[in-house]
Amino acid sequence: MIVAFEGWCSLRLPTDPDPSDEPRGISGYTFAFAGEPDFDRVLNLQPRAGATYRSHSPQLGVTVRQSDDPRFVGGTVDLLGDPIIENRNWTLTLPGFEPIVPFHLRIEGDGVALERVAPLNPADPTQALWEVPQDLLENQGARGMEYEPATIGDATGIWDPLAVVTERLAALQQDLQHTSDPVARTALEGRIAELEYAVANPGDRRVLARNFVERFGFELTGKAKAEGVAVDTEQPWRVDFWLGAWDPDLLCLYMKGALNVPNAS
Amino acid sequence: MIDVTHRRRLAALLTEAAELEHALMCQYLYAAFSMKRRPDEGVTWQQLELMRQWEASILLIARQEMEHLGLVCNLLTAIGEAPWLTRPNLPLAPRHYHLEVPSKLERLTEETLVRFALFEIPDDETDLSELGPGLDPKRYQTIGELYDEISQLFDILGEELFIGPPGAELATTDVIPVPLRGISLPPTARIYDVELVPVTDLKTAQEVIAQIVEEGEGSPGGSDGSHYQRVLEILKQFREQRAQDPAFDPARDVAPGKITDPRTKRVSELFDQAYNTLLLMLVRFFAHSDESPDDLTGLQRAAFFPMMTTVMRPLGEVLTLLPTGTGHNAGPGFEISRTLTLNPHRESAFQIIQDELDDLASKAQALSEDAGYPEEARARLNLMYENLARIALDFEAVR
Repeated sequence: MIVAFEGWCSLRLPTDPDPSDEPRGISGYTFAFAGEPDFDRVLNLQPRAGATYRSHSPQLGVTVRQSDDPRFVGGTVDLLGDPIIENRNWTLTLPGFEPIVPFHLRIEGDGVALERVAPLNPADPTQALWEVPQDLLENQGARGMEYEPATIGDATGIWDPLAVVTERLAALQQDLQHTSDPVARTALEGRIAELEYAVANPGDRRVLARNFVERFGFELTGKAKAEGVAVDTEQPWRVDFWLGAWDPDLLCLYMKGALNVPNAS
Repeated sequence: MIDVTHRRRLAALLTEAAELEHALMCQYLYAAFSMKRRPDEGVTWQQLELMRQWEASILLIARQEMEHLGLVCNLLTAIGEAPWLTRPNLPLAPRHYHLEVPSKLERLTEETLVRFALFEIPDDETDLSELGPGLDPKRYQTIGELYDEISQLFDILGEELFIGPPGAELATTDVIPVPLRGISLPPTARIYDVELVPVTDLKTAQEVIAQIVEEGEGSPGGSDGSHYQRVLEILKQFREQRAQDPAFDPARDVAPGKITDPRTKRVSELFDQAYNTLLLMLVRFFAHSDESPDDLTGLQRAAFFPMMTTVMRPLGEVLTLLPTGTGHNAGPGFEISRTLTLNPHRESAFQIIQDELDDLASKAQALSEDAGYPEEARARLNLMYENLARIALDFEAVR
């Protein structure tokens, strides 16, 4: 059975050369602006109640677009357990090769659900992340940062990232004229300053990063759960997807991929 | 035959330049780490946004001081000398480097910014009124003048000077090997505002010297983005804020000196040990002779992003949250407590680094398990421990 999914995710994280636990962003190109909470680094495939989202964000949520079981189509795809793209400033892996930890996938449809964990080290699922051998980290990690504007254009409709930045800048400048709250104004001014820098420096990561994807592909071998659907919960399931179209102003990115589950014998 | 007197003078000046750049880096980092980060520290959101930009600018300058140190090491290597990673501990008297400016670790204040500007003043600056009243530009020799003499000596000594091993100097991508597919970066690409260029002849030596001077004081055609202009801009904004809000103080009450609080002292000692270990790695990385490619990869992967970013910076920032026990908050000491000469025995040199990393990881674990630290510090200490433990593990695996 194949379940194909895609959609926008949120990800509030600091960027190199800030430390991965930098709470608000200083020397990278992502920042928690005035009044916003600290970064949490969590990759959210679904919108969360009480979370902070910036104006002009796309509709968030990864959903099932196609499946050979129609009950899944339109359903939600989620990663449970506050997953983090774990690179730790090149300590665990080179950038672009980092795993998502934990990887606990749950897909829900109309009266059906699939859920499975992918432990980094199947032989020792509770092993501390810093101790996991390099080959196992990379086995579940991305396969590099790849410049693929066409992949992103096809999936998101964004073919000209610089135009997106320029339009966003104009929109925020407009918003600023109608904003009186001093903290909200400070936050908007911070975003505007970063977008102005991006427009003036189109080779900077604030623009360039929008053209990259990171591809993941691995087997889910942990405990599996199937609700209302007959699939094999013993054999590994295979997931392949990419993350990309990173928007450092909105702190969101696109996900597209598929889960491949063997049918019950 | 080469003029050995001039060569000795050049080597001495390059050594002095390396010490200056290194000491400046520490002073900028100290000031950056001292800055307040939250509204409950007595600053408004608007001030915090401005301060975020100041801190980003100061950290950029600090990275470029590291770059300058690396470029000076490349210059030394190119003329057959050893790279120079040691320096006297701070504070240093104003005349130590003939600059009339003291070198010391200070939190971010108006006076600190004026001192930074005096370090970075352009050669041809004739008006220091922007910095404050009564400052006579003739009184201050500049770092630019030091590099002017270095540049002249390179010209005098000529191509004969370049006896260093070809390929020994480092480029940006040797230090920050960003792996991208679909886009290729030249070896000397500017990454994170850092551009490391190998020196192979007189032309590249002069280009590197010009790069250092332009980044510091600016070029004759303009100084936008130079360290001097960046510091002046922060100083101007600082004074504007102070005029609007006389109580404005962007830095924590951080002061160097004696630490009597036992928990803070352990973090401070760990910072200094990690700093010394990092310098040991950098000595081997810049002076590499019989190191294998794997050895160099091991040093690069340990020294640059992980040690600097996941150990030194978090520890330095955590220190500014902790009490000295004498009425202030602590700061990173950047104290060099061991000799940093190049050990000719590769195996034992690597073993010493490994032992230091293992010891650091062990001490960091003890800190991370101590519930007596403030919550914000504990979370950072715990991640720092895990990162140190991983660095030690990976360093051993590469060897």
